[in-house]
Amino acid sequence: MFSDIASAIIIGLVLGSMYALAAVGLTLVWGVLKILNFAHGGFITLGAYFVWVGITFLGGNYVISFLLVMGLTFLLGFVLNAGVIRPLQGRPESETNIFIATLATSIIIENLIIVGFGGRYKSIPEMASGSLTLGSISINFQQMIIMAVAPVFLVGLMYYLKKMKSGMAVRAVAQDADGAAIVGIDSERVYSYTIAIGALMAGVAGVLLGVIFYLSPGMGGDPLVRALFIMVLGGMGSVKGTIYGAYIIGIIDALARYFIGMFWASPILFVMFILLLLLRPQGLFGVKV
Amino acid sequence: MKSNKFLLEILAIVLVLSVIPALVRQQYILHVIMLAMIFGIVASNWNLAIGYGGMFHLAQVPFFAAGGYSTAILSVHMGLSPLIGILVGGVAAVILSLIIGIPALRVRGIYLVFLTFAFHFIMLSLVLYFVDITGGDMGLILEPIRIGATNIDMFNPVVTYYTALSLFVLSLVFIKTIIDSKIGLALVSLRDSEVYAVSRGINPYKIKLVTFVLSSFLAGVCGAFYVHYLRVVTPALFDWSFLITFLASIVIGGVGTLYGPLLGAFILTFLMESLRFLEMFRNIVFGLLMILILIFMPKGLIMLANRAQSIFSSRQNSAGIVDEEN
Repeated sequence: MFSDIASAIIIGLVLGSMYALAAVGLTLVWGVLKILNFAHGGFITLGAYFVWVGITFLGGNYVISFLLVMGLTFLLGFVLNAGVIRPLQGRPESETNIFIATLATSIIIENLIIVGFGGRYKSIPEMASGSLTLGSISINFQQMIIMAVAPVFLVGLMYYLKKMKSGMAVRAVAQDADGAAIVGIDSERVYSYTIAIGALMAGVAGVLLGVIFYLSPGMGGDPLVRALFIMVLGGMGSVKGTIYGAYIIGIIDALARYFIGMFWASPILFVMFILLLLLRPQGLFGVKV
Repeated sequence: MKSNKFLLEILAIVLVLSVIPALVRQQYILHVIMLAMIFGIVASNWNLAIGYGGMFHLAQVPFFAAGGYSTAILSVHMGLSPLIGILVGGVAAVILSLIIGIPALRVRGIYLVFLTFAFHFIMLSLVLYFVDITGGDMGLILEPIRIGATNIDMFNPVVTYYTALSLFVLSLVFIKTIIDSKIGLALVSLRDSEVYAVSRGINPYKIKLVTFVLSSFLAGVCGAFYVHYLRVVTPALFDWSFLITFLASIVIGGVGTLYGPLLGAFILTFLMESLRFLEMFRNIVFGLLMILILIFMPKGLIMLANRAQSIFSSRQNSAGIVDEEN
């Protein structure tokens, strides 16, 4: 029993690491632009496919493929902002319009992947084989790498937001766009950076997801839905809250998969999501709405 | 005066749409028009909540699917007649709308979007889990229905076309009645200024719930009709493509207008069908077009039509003053 719970928690931490990466980008974009970017799931999928392409065609180098993913998703984030989000922002009905437009973007991404790579499942070759066994609990190296990589990016993002000048500008715009404009911050620039950083985070999440799960054109949908839950749990727009929320959801998800059944994990999370929205919509760390 | 104008408009629509089968012999085109009418009904009922009520929710696809699944399950397992089945679909959607609406309408904005989104996935999970009843991934196949002992299929193209047309007209009258009623007035006033509306004694929760429930009924009816028409029901009923089609019909046609979503549905359905030659690239082009339309025609096409009409009518009045209002 103890070892079951321990293994479930380890899986939970692995899932939580991926969910955290998937959710921080979404939260950051919400916090700064007050929009819901439904193309986020598409970027998760893109991250996974880019790393697959890199490894398959560039001689199996993980590090270069990973850098390739980061660069490409970051650039595509700018494209997403310039082509889809910015033209619709600040107009009447912009909330609905951006929702539809980013949903349309994710459909475009999904179908581009179907056209380019076909709809069949693919898998990324193992990054590292073997596992570490501690008594009755075993952790394989892939899981360890995921648990180590995610915090690097999360801490990096926190450092960027807290200490670096352009990160501070992001926080300033999130708090008060008008005030930020008065002190000379170009909010348009901040918006495009924010979306690009969010896209990069989604890409990295996609790489980690691709490493343990199969690749399919619609693979970003599931983590996107969980990311929405995490975003609310963490208090909409709070990056720190989102990171805590992601690990909590990851562990709950893993325990549900382990003890109740693979199938029921999602419905259980949805019911919890509904209860959260009804009982505590401000989340764990958010201010009261 | 106002209702006379509406009556004329309805008559014109009925006249045009009912002579089409006599003029157009291709069944394919009738099929597309019928789809457009069905999607238009679902979209314009959704518009009641989104456009008139200002409550952006994503429960319309679950309503549509509830209508489809309830009628399919009853007709496959219990041999229910589709005529009653279509009504059952509407009732199922109303029940679902109460289940979702009673808790969900207490929150607003993005939280309402999330809540209805979660219900969508829970319903899909239930459909996939109860394989014995719903057929799971494979879905259910419905038998063709014969009229009495004859060999005439009840869902032959002409009958289905006119059924869809009657639903279309019914929906128009239904929505117009709601908008013109006290509920519609209360709804619009809540959307425009909730504080003022509440101070005049309107209960926002009650009005929103009533609208939510009313707008689900015909979505369920259409879901049931659609399923009987296709003779198959699968989890594809929960597809994002439905959500996009309905939502985009509203936005492209014109949010909060009577005819906008209907126009939007016709344009989108025909656009989708005319892009069939693109095969694998169809969804990509469709997505791109959607984004372009949103960017370059933000107010919806109905505004263009209104402007044209106002220029036309001001010329007719020969008052020399062009109405710039619209």
